[in-house]
Amino acid sequence: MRATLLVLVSLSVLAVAHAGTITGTATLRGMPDQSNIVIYAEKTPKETASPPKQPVVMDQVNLAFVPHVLPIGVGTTVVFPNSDEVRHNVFSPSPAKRFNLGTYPKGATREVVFDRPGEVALLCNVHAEMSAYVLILETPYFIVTPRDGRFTLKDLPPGNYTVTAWHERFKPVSQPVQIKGTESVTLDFRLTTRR
Amino acid sequence: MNRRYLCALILLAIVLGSSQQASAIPAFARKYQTSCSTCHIAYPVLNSFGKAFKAAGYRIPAGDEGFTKDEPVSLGAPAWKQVWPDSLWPSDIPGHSVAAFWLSSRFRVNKSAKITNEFDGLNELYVLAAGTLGESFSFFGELEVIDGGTVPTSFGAALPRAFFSYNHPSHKFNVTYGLFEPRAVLTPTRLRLMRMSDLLSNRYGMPPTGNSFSLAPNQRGVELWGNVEGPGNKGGLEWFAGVVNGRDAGTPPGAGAYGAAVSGLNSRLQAALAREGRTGMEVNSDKDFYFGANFKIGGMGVLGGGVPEAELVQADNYIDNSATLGAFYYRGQAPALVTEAGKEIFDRDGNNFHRVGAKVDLNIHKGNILYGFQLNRDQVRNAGRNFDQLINMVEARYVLYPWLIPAVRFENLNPNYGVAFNRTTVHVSILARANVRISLEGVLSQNSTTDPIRDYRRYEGGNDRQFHARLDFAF
Repeated sequence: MRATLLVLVSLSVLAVAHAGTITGTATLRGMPDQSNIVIYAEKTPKETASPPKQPVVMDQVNLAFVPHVLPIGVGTTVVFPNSDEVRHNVFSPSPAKRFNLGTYPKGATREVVFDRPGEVALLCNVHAEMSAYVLILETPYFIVTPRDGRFTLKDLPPGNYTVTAWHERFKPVSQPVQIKGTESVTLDFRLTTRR
Repeated sequence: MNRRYLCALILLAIVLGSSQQASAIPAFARKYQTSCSTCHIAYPVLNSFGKAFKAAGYRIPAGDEGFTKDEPVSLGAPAWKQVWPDSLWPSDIPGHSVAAFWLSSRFRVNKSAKITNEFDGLNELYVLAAGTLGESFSFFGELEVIDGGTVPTSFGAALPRAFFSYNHPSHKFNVTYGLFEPRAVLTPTRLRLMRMSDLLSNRYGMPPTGNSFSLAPNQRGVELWGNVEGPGNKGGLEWFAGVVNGRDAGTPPGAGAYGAAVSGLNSRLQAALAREGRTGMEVNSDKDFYFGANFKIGGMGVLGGGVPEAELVQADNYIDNSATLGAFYYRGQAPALVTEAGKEIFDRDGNNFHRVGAKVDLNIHKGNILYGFQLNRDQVRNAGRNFDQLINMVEARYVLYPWLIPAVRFENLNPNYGVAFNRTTVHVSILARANVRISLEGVLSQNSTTDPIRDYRRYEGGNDRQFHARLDFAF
């Protein structure tokens, strides 16, 4: 048993030691703020990642969903606490996961398992201006950009990937990339509006 | 120097010196926190970017969201589109005040008038309201509180523009509904640099038929229009077509023997209109229609192609080397006094009239030359002849400095029923600030003194030669 564990740990260390990195900048045409762009790398052919055991949180604070964009792996549980002073009613009309959590007060929590890949818009039936997006991905390699649009995807095992930049109002852009070892690959994305 | 002119100069100097705090913040300047000069050469004259902004439904073509500094009030998050038709389509309204003000004051010199020179205090006070509603709608309204130094007495005069537009995301197909200036003009009345007189092509009626129709400045109806950029995002096509009521510019007075005949005709026509319970010429149910296109070669794309994405350009944005060719056709029906069996009768649809125009608009470095001609034809039933006017106009403008813009316009009206006449207008605009304009302008009429048809002078205040110094400011 101890020998098996030793082998697994060694393999893991070896894998990380041979992991590559993708860095770059994503920009939204004409926008000063480059935040909330999801950058994700999917292995080709696709490999399904096991979902995280810990749920992730989509909070509701000051009449806004926090975070505004939440990338997760398929099978992830998302909890929806209400940290506001008012009642909210979270629901989604999106085909990837239709649900309605009903109206619930401050301190209450609901949760949803997102079991299919896709893009899910979150709305509040009480506050029409509130919205957020959950992006359910078949990969564990993703990140959300900050205001300057810079990103780093770490710990990618060697292989061929399709790296995609996604934003709720811009056309997604994908680029192929090959990770050979511990190298760092640079990729830049420029997104144009979906209109 | 004459003391009165010295006073005028002192006034100008005071205005220049006291406008330190002035800033250009009408409706769109407020929304984008940008200067008037982003869209205007000397307001209201649009530069190429301003035209692209208008073509994009009053939105920054490169991406409106990125430039909007004053966030709109959400009427539903965009994701509500996924819920439609079980919910309202999401939209927004401006988060800023949409009202803006445009004031002007003049010092006029008119040797033919009883009072040869005078200050008119406040000549114009316009309240302009404009904005966008969500991704696809926009609106524009203009309320004339004071126009020509007087308070408008009719609703139509007080509200010359009020329209609502749907703008397709591609900008290829848009709809404007309401009260607007049709695109079927050689150059828009509302956007002209020289303010003392309206363009003959836009406003001149047909005296011998009593038809006081004018293309501009506004019509009631619906207009379809769109824009497509040319190859390489340069230039492009603008198309338009509209259905409108037709517009009455009022009844021109006459002068001399011919003018007396015109006045007599107008009097009888007005009496007939009064019997119909109307004062305007539009007493028929038939709608006028028009269509046309403008094709721009070179320069900035008609939808802003090639515009830098990160910033709104302030310098040299009046340079856009390009040529625009345009043409339009307008057909309308107006009432006329028709002779039938030797008797003069009133016919609501007695006059089928046509307006055909074409233009070449050249932007060469800092200069602009616009040439256009327009054929006006009235066909009155049983008249046995056509009444035609051929109007030629050429206008040149040069940006000596961004704040100093001289211009000259020459117009010629050649009718087949009378004597041709010319009009020359000279102008210089001095932009004390982006939103403060001082202009010196003179209208020089070169009519033959024997010309019996002088009714055009109604647009000139009744005199051949005039000069004005004018102050405009907007905020």
